[in-house]
Amino acid sequence: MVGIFIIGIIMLAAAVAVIVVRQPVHSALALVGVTLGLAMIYLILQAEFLAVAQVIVYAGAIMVLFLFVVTLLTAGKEETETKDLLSGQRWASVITGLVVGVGLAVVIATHHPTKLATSLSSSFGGLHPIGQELWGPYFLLLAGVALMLLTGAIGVLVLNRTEGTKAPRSRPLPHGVSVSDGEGESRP
Amino acid sequence: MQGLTEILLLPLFGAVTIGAFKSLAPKRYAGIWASVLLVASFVLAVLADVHLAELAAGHRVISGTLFNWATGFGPKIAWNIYLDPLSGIWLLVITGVGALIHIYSNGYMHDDPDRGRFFGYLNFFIFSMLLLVLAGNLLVLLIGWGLVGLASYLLIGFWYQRPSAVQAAKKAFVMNTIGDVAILIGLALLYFRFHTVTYAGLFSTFAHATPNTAYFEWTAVLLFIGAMAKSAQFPLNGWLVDAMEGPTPVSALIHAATMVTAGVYLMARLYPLLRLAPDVAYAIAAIGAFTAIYAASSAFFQQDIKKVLAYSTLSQLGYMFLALGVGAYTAGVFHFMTHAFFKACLFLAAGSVIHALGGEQDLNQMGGLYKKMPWTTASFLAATLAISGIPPFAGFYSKEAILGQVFNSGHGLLWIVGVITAGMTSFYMFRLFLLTFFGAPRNKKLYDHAHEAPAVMTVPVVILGILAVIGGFFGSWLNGWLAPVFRMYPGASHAALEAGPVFGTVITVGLAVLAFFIAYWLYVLKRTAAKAGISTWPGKWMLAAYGVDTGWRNVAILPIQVVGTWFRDRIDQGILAAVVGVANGIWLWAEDLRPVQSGYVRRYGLSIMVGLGVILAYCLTRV
Amino acid sequence: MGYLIPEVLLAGGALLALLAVAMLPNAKNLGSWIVLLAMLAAGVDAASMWGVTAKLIMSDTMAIDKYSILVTEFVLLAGASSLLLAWNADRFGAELPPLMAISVLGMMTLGTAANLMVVFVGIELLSLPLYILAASTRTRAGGEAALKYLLLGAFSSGILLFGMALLYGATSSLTFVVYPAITAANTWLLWSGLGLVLVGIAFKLAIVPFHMWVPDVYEGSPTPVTHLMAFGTKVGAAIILLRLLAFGFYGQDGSWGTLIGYLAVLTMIVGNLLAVPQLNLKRLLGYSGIGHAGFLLVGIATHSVDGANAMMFYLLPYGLAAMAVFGVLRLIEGQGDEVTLSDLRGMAYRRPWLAAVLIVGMLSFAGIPLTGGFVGKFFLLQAALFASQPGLAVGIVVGTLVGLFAYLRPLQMLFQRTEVSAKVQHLRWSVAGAVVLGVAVVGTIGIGVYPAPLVHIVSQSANFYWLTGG
Repeated sequence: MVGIFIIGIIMLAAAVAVIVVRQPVHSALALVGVTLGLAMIYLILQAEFLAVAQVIVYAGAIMVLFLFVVTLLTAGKEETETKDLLSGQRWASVITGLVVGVGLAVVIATHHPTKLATSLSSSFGGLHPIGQELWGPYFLLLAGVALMLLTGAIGVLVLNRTEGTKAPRSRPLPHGVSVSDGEGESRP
Repeated sequence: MQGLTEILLLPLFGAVTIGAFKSLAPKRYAGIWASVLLVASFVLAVLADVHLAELAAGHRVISGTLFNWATGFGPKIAWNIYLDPLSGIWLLVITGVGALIHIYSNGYMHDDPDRGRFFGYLNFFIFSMLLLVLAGNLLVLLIGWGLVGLASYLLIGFWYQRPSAVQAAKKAFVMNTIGDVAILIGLALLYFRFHTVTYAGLFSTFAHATPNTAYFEWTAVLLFIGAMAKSAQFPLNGWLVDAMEGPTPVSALIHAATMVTAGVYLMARLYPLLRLAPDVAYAIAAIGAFTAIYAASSAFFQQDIKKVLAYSTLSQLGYMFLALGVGAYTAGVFHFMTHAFFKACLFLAAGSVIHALGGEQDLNQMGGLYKKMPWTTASFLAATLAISGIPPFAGFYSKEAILGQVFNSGHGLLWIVGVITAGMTSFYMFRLFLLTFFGAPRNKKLYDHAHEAPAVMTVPVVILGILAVIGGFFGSWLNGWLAPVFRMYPGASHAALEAGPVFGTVITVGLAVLAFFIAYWLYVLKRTAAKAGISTWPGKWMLAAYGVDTGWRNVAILPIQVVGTWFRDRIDQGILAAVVGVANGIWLWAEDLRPVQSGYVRRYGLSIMVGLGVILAYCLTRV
Repeated sequence: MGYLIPEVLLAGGALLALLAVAMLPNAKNLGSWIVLLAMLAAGVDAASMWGVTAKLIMSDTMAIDKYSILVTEFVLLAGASSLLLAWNADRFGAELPPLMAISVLGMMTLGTAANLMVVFVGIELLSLPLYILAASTRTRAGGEAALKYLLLGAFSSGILLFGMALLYGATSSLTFVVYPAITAANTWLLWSGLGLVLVGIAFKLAIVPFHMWVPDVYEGSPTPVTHLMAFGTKVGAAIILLRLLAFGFYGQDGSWGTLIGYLAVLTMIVGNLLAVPQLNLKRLLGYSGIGHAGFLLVGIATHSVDGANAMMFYLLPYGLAAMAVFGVLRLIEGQGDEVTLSDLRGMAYRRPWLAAVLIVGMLSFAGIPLTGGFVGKFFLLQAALFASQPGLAVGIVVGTLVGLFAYLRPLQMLFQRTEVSAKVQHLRWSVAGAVVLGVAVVGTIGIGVYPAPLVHIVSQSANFYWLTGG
């Protein structure tokens, strides 16, 4: 229990660091702290597989990707802070954030903890039980998530398409011929 | 449903076919086709009423459902059709008088290049009016109500090349819309309280309701405002006189015989509601009496043959509302019926005169026409005697029925107003008659060209003239016919015809005869010109109907115009600035109206956070 | 398993279309045809299930009932009309049809969702393709729109997920069916969880104050995509909100009914008010969509069968009117992405039929009689008054009046004789656009004149409260 609190405080600090530090690289590094803390909580909850997956996927793969992108994009560029056109915004967000955060914290802290009456086995969090759930009753959701990932991949293609390959070339129309079902999209 | 569907759909069919084929078929067929359909409708209406008469007295209702409008959520709403003796009377008058006027229009509109459109509109009007009358619930009634307003708008503005016609059509539309909105709100009040709009459903609930509550007063007032607008009661009367810009058959059909009596129909139909709102009933009587005398005096100095008739229509409608207000429902309906006969006759005869004089409507250009137009003169005379209340013509019986019952119910002041109005009616109607048909011709050229109208026009006029003579004898029959309607629900204990005091009849008839002699002395013996007296101050006032129109302009239209102009001129600055100002006032959304700028995405997020905080706080207080 | 054939068909269509556009890049409209046929097949199959008795499938995570079937038909209509609006337009890219199919699949998933996890997957499946589609023309405005939508969407998804976690902690279940039994135990945890979930869904539905992304995103996105957001997303978010509240938290209407009522009134008035000064038609429609989201909330706030019916009913006239208006916009804009009020000048004289379609759509938005929008607003008003909530009724009336002003301004432009705008002069009809407009106009007027069939269908579908678990 104490361990969870300590990890929680570390994670909170790391999360604040993500948004307050000026260098994007430092932000990404602070995010590693958050994900590692989460992995440790998983470990405390005896969900070893999730913990390992968390470290490999987030702290490993995704963070490395972040760092690559950040260093490639911001190398040699001076970080400039745009002027905040709307005064008082920062304070307002800090206050609302604090109010909501504290409120939620109070709600959770005052909640009388009872053991959740779920059908999950106590060994849930290991590879085998998770696999059984995912490929059993939640298979369709897994398929949905797969479609989401596919969408993400298409998104990368769409957004990085260069102008030249954007559209298939269309035949030039002879003069005076109009396209009956076209809508003026065909370029001359 | 005993042919009710056919009665209703024949005119609609006519309107659609005429609209579709008017450019294909020869022009005269449109009028013949429309008339044939309407005659068929009339025959079916007679058969339906005969069938109704054969039913047992307590069950004289034919009802049915054309189709369900919406079923499922809450109460069902359907296109209910409902025929009882009350709507039966209206049905007969609409189809019967309507058919005569259709036939007449074949002659009257003979030279108009746009006849097809005219008959299409006319048939459409008949359909709408039948829908209004045959409606089995207030919603269908309101739809018919709106459609007759539309038809009236189209027909008033039929000669849309004339700016005055367009103006008059607009005026009629606006005033009628005021009424429609009032009815809609009243209907909403009823619907959301009783969850039904059918007559049977509402009225059976009314039977157990406590009278005199604010709710019923408001509902009755709103529905009465609608009736006022349609029936041109003071102060919503301005449009009816301007509506004379339409072709004369339209004036006869819509603005005299049928549509303007829709308000009378609605109030008679809603008698269970009026029981619950006695103050409103009294207001109806008072407004009716006031409209009667106000319009009668406004008719005194009118120079236009149709305007005199328009004011007399207003005045007679006032009588009907007076009757309804004191609970004399049968008398009111009786007067509606006789009025439909003699007023249609008057308008059609006036139309014949206008036709004969090549479109001239000014009384100062008429005179001596009786030699040229004997049939028209005879019919006009019969109708004039009827409206003036000279026994034994139709108007005498119905007017006496109303005045007698007003007296019996103890409304002394209203009775006096009614009696005086009867005398005034006689004066201005004989003034009109004598100026038109007697004396020396004032315009020799027009007079020489004048001729009796063709048979297609004279025959309907003469038929209506005969009805104006004998219409009064239907009184006791009507009394028995309508009795089951007014016995069905409480609230119409004095609905049946009652005999008034004999001295009242003597006074009324005496005044009418006296007024005739005054008119004869003034306009035949002394040969006073029609325009005499219009420059003196009472003449000016009466000619302008006491400035009610100007009053409307100053009180309602001008301010709206000023506000409207103010809005229009500032639409780019004022309103927008106001909206931007409102948004600016809510600090959070200040930049909403600004172009896309990605920097603001933080603000959007902040808005979400604030909303989240509020919702969270709300949720936490709910436990 | 046969119950999920429509979803499978659509997913299969999306994958096939993706393959097809990759293999045959020069075949015009191939992807669109595949997805359109998949949508039609899914629609037919869903319709054939109409007689189904309500049941829960996939370990109680999905509900198959007439509600879900009707939602499927609605979102397929939204998807198919968006697809037709993008017909023949190369500049949106060949990936548009499969992405739209995936988004529609997400909406369909929301229709069947009976479990919070399914809700989340549905919402993300719906949103992710839209983020990409918003930027598919790769204009500056489109990119900004996509980025804003993505950032704020991620933000709201986080809130939604957090709320779900709290709900799970309070009830130890993610499945709606067991909530009515558990929610009797009122705890802060439960209600704050519900509040956060509400915020997450309200963001998608564009409820004030979570609405601010809407005008920017609508303006920047290509018109067919905007149409999908306006029609499809709104259907998906509204129906899941109704299912969650009226089904899962059935007995606690006192807790959420008032809240939703306040949000509804605020949204109706603010949305319509801010629509008034807009000069860009897509922005105007964005604010109008916000206002309509407020109207939809009225149906939920009344917490009655009438209200649920009225909300379900309102979705279709709203969507049909959106089809009409966006269809006209699509024809006017031609190669561009922007239509301003002044682009409509003189349309009534130059393109009377197209102007008539726009008038029908706008009048339906405004709620003028004889259009579907009027009937829908009437049912909402009726539901509010029958539930003895006059405040909501006043909100509807005020919102409608303000909205009337907003919708009449563009119509005024149509009749300006002074000059005909260049876009109107050069616009060209397309068969696909004509199909969309035809369906929209016939549907709008049909529902306005004779709503009984739709009323019948909706009243059968929106009574899912009594579906018990098992």
